[in-house]
Amino acid sequence: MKFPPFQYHAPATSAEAIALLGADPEAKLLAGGQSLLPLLALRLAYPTALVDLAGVEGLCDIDTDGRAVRIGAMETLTDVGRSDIVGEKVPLVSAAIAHVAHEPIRNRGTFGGNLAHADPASELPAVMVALDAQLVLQGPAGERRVGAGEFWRGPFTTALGADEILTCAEVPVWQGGWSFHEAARRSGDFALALVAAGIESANGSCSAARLCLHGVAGAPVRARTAEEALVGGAIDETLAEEVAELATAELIPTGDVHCTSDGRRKIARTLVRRAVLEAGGSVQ
Amino acid sequence: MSGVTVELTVNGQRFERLVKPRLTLADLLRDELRLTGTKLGCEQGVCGACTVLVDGAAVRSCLMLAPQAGGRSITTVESLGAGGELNPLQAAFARNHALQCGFCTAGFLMSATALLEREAVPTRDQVRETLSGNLCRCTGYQTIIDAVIEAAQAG
Amino acid sequence: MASAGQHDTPPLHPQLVGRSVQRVEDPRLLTGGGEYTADLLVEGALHAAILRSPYAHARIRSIETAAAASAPGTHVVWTGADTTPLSAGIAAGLPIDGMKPTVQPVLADGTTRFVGEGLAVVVADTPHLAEDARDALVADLEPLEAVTDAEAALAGGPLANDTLEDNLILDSERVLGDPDAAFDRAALRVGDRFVHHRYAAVPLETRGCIARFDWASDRLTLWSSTQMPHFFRTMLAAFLGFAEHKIDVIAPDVGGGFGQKAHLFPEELLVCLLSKQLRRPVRWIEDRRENLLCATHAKQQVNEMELAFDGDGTLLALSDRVVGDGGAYNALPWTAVVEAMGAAGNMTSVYRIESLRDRHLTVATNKCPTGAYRGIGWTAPQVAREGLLDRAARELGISPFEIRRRNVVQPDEFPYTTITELEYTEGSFLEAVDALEQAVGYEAFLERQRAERARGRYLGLGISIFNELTGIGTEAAFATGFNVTTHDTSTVRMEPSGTVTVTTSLTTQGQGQETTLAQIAADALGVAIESVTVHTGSTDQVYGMGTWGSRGAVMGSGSIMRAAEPIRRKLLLTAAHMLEVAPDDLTIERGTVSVTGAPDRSLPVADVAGVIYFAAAVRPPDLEPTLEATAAYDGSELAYSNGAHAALVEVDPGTGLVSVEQVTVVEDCGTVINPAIVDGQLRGGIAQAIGGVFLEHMHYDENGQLLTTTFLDYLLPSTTDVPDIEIVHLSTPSASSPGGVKGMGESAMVSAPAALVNAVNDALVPFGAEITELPITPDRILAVTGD
Repeated sequence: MKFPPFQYHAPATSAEAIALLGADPEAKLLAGGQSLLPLLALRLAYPTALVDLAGVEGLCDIDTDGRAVRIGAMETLTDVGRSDIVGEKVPLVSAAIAHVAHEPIRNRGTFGGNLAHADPASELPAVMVALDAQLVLQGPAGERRVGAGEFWRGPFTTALGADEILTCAEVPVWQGGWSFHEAARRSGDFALALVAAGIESANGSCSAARLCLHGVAGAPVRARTAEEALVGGAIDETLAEEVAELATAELIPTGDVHCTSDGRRKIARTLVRRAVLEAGGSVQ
Repeated sequence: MSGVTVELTVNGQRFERLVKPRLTLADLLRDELRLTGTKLGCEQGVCGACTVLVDGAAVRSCLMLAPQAGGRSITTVESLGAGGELNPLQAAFARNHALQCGFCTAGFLMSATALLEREAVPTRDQVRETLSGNLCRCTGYQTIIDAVIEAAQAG
Repeated sequence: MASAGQHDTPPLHPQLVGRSVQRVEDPRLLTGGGEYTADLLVEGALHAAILRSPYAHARIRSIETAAAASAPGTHVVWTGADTTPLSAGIAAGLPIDGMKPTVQPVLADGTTRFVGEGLAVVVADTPHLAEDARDALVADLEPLEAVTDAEAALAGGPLANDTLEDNLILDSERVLGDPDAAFDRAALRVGDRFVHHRYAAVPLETRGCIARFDWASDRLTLWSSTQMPHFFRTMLAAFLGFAEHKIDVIAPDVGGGFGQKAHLFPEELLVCLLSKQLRRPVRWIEDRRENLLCATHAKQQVNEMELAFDGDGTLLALSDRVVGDGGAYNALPWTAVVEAMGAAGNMTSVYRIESLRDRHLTVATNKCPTGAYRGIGWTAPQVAREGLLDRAARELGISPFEIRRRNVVQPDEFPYTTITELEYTEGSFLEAVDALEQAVGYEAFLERQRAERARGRYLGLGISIFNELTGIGTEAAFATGFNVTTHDTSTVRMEPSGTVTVTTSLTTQGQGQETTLAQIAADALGVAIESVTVHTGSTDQVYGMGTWGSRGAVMGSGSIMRAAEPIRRKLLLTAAHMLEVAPDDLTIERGTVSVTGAPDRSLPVADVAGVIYFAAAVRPPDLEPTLEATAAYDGSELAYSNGAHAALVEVDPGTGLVSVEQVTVVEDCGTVINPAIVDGQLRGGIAQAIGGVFLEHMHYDENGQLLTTTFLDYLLPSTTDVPDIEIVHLSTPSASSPGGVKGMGESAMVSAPAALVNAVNDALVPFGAEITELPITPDRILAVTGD
């Protein structure tokens, strides 16, 4: 199970990397490689060249201006998961990372690689969509920002152009209640379904709600109707049940060897219910 | 597919090799440097048998290109107990019957080594969680976890 | 048969036996010093990559090889048209009336019969180049209708393997006692259809082999990750036309086998043929995808089982119809019948059942051949029988422990002959049930279960009681239907220094034979374990069948104790001569021969050995100056270990996920050689049971396409899936085996799956339905909980 041949490039700047991508449409970006390299091992991909972003300046840092946390694309999942800034300002991100694969994968796997790979049951895209993150893309024409809700288009498909690089994500600070739930066959596996939830409460009722599901459609699903049903309500079992039904009734997930479509929808409903209760503070 | 010169440190020794970029770190260690203690159980990044330390962090050597290891310091199972006797972790593995066929063992030792560097006295759940990316088909895991806990307590 | 099978062994004087001696193999394996097949550096070796069939069943129109042959680094490209004239392939069958043998070609020739079957091979300078060239092969295949459902295939339709006249490889039925009458008068009948899925051994080290043919010496060496090197050599001679004495087969360190590596595969023939052709060593290291595709699969059976009880819950009769999915070819040597016929081999298990009707059918399908995997044949019917016992207990309002207590062979009934003519000379069946009930604290569990249910949490406890057929020699193999000759041999040599070298035909795949067999040899000769070295895994050594089927401990003990005895006698004779006492007055212990009761009158064993080799004047006249003996062991009787499993699980009704909170084992394997190793076998088997019941599934679609070909789809249990396991030991030594030793390597995979399934069904009682089809996936739970 050996990789097919390819050229290897190690640019020092994003401009160089973008130029390399532009010069060779069959070239692929290499971040941590934890999703790409297994595809090469199975010979499911035959890129002509890999453009390694490890040496590119400016893709590794985590900081905050108080309103959002900026997470560099080449930060490893381990470093993001251990970041105090992330843990304090956007704890949903830290919680989600704990579910991503296993430590050795997180030690190499990168934040940006995880987002750009766009696995249809991946944890972080759901959190990005739930928190209305902005993704910063750099291409030959310069930088552009894409809202997380528009970034994921389907399984392994994003708004990222063939000659663009995802340089960082800007994740708005979320200090309200939150919850991340996923169901997987084993710890560290891709989810059968997952949900990221954020609930702000005032005077015993929900004042703002964020609810995003993944693993149940090709791309993360923001449950807007369910969010609206939450706002103004008091979070309890009845409301959680109602919201869970709203969030999942219309879903037609893709089934696979791990779980049928129907099973995934049922699981998603359970997870939404639990996440709403937890984010709403009803469960400690 | 032109070659790439890779300079790296393995178990404290510096090496320079001209390699094809598609060579993995695991292949480099096993085939070029003849350090065959690192095993390949799946070559898909799942089983953990090929786990080594890269700058102290546990990493799948089957999911790292040899060129990506340039400038890095690699630690493999061959470095443990290199003084002619088993190190405390290895000795705890032997005392607790934490290995049977031995094929997964190097990966477990390296993952546990990284854990013990970070957490002097991990809890049983921490050990379980950290080692959940290493598959063993023989032991049922319990004695491996026992061994890591015992090594931590001894250390 | 009886006389050929009977071997007396001398009594065991345990010093090291019974102690958790640290393994002698560990320092090597802990430092990266183990040498597994892929680690071997064989100078000049080329690398083989095999193109595998993408279809379950297809006619091969052509395979375009020119581009691959001219690819950089390629030495040769072969298809079935090249290999078939050199070797027809692997012929496999069993000498049983009505059993249909098959021949599995080295590479498919004309027709391919399962996804993953080899179509062509490329040999190149490096593994990378071999795979590149393989990418350039183009196979033109015409898909044929695939047989994917064994039960449906019984009704007719297309043939899975056109060399067979129909899809039925073996159909066998027996009626013992009077099952019709028993079912007629039964106060309670419980029955169901139990579907056991297909999964596999999946050793962490894949298969692999390296062949080196040296034309100048006309010798063929095959290194292979195998459990049975001698058998390989004999079969290579038969299938390749090599002279057997010019073949060496070496099993280096082997990274797990679990039965899968107790088969000869086409790749082993292929690399030998290639090496002879190319006059270069040729290596093939299986990759994980290949291991999942085309190393043997296991366990797939449908059991339609019914039990008859009287009003007290006493078992009157059992009926079963077993359909085994055999795959496209018979794997050698166990064949496709290994599952369905294996099931029949222990149908009544630990229970008194006076009437039995069972039928087992093995069906050819267009899937990977079925082979041996820990607990062969027995796993599926155990799940069925133990599940029905629980159901009967619920109907009768008695506990699952009680119904088993009422039906196991009772202590005063030994020796007991089952209706299927297995002879149980001893056992602790009843004690095992009691010990298990005590260990799990059943009453307290019931309270906890009630309390948790009230909080919406669903706990379940399941149990399973078993015995295991171990130490399989020839007679025992025939008794269970597998008409194969099976024995093993060891040579024991004491060196002039008093140290001991044991060579044995047994092999090790992680079970620790280098240690346990050294314990046996050390005790047999009264020396320290540090004085013993055990060599396994090479045809340089004495002939035998290798390690499989929970027979290593019994066969190893028997052959080593028998071989050591004449050496011990010689030591005693010589020491007696030197000390001027009678040999019977002497004891050998801890490396010293001493006069019994007068320890100051003693000699070091090393001195006595030295005298035998080098001091003709001192040793007894007429004593031959050698301390080497070879003995076989072919026990005439099975050694039956027994025990019980309990599993405690929590089912999440909202996600369908199950967590295994606790597993408890009661194990009685007679004399324990090394408790730590026994416990390791039990725990490892339970992890495999958890995998088999909840995670592992060789999932074929309706076209015979295998959908689980990576470790992201075929899920092995990890640290977070397997709880700590509590083990309770009972000890009822075997009356017939050497030292009272019984095998135990398979018990967890015989019985723990049933306990796990029963635990889930216990948790699901409030939902009013049971799961009878495996694996237990979130979907199957959600279908019951209806959430």
